[in-house]
Amino acid sequence: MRRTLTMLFILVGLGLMVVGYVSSAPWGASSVADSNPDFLGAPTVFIIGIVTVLAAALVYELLPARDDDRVG
Amino acid sequence: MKVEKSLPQGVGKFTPGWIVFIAVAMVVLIIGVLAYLYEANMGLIVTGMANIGTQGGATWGLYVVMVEYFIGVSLAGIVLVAFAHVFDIKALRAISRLALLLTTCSLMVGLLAVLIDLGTPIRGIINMILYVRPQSPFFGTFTLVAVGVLLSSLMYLYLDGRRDAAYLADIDSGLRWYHRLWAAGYGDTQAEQERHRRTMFWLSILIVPFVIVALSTEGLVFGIQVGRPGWFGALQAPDFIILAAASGLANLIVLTAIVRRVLKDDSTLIGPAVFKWLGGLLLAATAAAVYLQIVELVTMLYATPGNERLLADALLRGPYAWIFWSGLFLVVFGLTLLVTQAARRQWSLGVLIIASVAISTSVVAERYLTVIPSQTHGMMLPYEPGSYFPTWVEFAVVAGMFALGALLIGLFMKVFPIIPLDGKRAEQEVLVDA
Amino acid sequence: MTRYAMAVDLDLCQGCRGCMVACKVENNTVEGNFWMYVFRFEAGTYPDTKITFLPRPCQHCDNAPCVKVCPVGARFKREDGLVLTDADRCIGCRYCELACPYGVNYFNWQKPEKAQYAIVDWRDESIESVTGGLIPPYKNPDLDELWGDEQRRTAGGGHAKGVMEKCTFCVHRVEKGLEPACVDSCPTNALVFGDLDDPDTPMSRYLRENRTWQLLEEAGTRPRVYYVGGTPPTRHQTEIERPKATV
Repeated sequence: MRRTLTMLFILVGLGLMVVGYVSSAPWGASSVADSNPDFLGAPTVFIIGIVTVLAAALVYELLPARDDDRVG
Repeated sequence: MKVEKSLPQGVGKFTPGWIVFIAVAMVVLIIGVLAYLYEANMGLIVTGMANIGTQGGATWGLYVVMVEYFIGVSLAGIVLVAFAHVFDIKALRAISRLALLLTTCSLMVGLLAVLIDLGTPIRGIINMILYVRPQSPFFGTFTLVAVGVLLSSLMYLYLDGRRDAAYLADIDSGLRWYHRLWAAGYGDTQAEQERHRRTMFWLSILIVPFVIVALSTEGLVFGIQVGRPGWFGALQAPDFIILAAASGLANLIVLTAIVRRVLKDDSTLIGPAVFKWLGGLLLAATAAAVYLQIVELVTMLYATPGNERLLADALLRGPYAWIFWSGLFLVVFGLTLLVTQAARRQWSLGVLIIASVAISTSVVAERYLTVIPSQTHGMMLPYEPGSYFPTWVEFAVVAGMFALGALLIGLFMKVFPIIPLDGKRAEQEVLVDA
Repeated sequence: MTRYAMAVDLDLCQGCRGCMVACKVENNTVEGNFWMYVFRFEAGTYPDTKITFLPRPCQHCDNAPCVKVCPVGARFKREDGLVLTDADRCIGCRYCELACPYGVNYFNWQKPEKAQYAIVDWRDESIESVTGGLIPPYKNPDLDELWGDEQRRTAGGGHAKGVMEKCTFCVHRVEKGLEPACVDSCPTNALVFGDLDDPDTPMSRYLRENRTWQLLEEAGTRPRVYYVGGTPPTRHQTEIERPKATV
């Protein structure tokens, strides 16, 4: 359960980073469109992606798992 | 007879020395804040900066130099701790929390310096969140560094401290609620310890390339500018990282020595092995830094294309010569001291501190020489060369930045032990009459 | 498709700097900011000196480094070629100023009202009663408008403390079918402006009929300003009669 959730956090985070990056202003210096993101706040999606990937480590360490109680 | 346990390493105890330190730091910080408020009201005209070209000034001044310096210093702590976790270097365990704290505080101050330098700081934050463009190197500063590296180091600090927090939460004190919150139910079972080790290992493996990529964008800010002689070049990013490592380790050594001095009875927790490691790593980083500087110097002396000739002259013989040569002298001096220590296999703390101060100062000079001369003497069109000197406002604000960093570290030491307890019974037992 | 460009004939330019003044009046730029700037160069040593002049507007590059580095997209390139600055989005990081090899960018270091030319004391009561307190009172109302399909505040200078500005090819005039103020005011017609995609404009004909060079071609910026006659500037020339105002 913990491992699944951790992987989910990492994948969702990476996904958000990709979506955020490609939705932000494109590389280019030839048109007005190169200065605007696809939607306002697209970079925030990228940032949330970074936070989500990092939170995966917190999830992995903090989430209690039933199988651990049997050890130690 | 009742035995009362008290918090270790002076946590929760406000000594007169600490109070004086906090008072002085607060005064300097307040002066810095007042200077900044003056600048925010009047505009950046109160600094020594001016437009490049026709106005013959430098448009990025001491603030950007400090941005580069502070963000650079933050590299060493987190990479050192990652390195220690991956290779299981127990000797560095004692300073892992201090190293992470240095990274966190230095990074926060560096990012604050970015805001201080903006023409419209509040709009800056809002517009970055809404609009920041990936093509600009500042994208890396705003997302990877400001969010990624900062959160990584905060998370590292948090996870690393849970075990000690759980131990401290057993001690009845005013900070108990805080220690309980930090511990978040840590049970210190074998399974939990194993899980913690695994998390830290994987985090460390991934953090190092991430941090290096993120901080390389700081070097790329300069390196990709075709229009700025002295900046354009592939060496800027590696140069940033290597100087970051050297300045970070140097600052960590000085900080460790101070903490060791302040902790008095607990000072034995930081043994000679720590300084041996730090000294050795600083030697490696400084050697790399000197190598880069010599390569740069040789290239400049051998041949400089037209636009860079003016810049090279300004650095070697002109208005920046005193900074250039003293910076080079200090870093070579620092390196020589470190080599003699390594050769004698005896790391004297005093010599280490002198070497660290010399190297750190040299890095400040290098950052200054990266930022400023390419603006006053680096115009591709034949404008007259310019000049720049910081005003009292810039000095006051920068002093405030240093005070803020010191204050954050000083305050942390009073709410949490700076040296990991690692299950050692480090509490002080006080015998009280029944 | 429109493709605006400018040509500067250095054989016709006499260095009168009338274009600098016209630009300043049209765009209300503050003291020390010279969007259009004319270098006065001296080469050689007395008595064998040679004086040359080089007008330097913003080059409105096709591969503009200032556009590439702007973190928030305040500096952008329009499809018709103009490189403009959105005064409402600019955060004042001054990165564009450092990216530009030509040095055409200017930052507003203080409140623009304080930086305007103090020909008279604008706050004098007798003057305020006439001007209604406006500083400067001759401000062009077009400069506060939103321009172009993108509807952004890109015309004119002195919008606010803490934002960047530079030559706009007088976007507020071009949108109305006029020429930039510098081109309009040049007494020798040394400056030519027009649409390169229309072969019948004076600009297109000028390029067809003359050999041209461009400033700092080696920087790879692909500027839209073409120079006719004269030679590219070198370090053998020293600047004389540079403006004394700093910020």
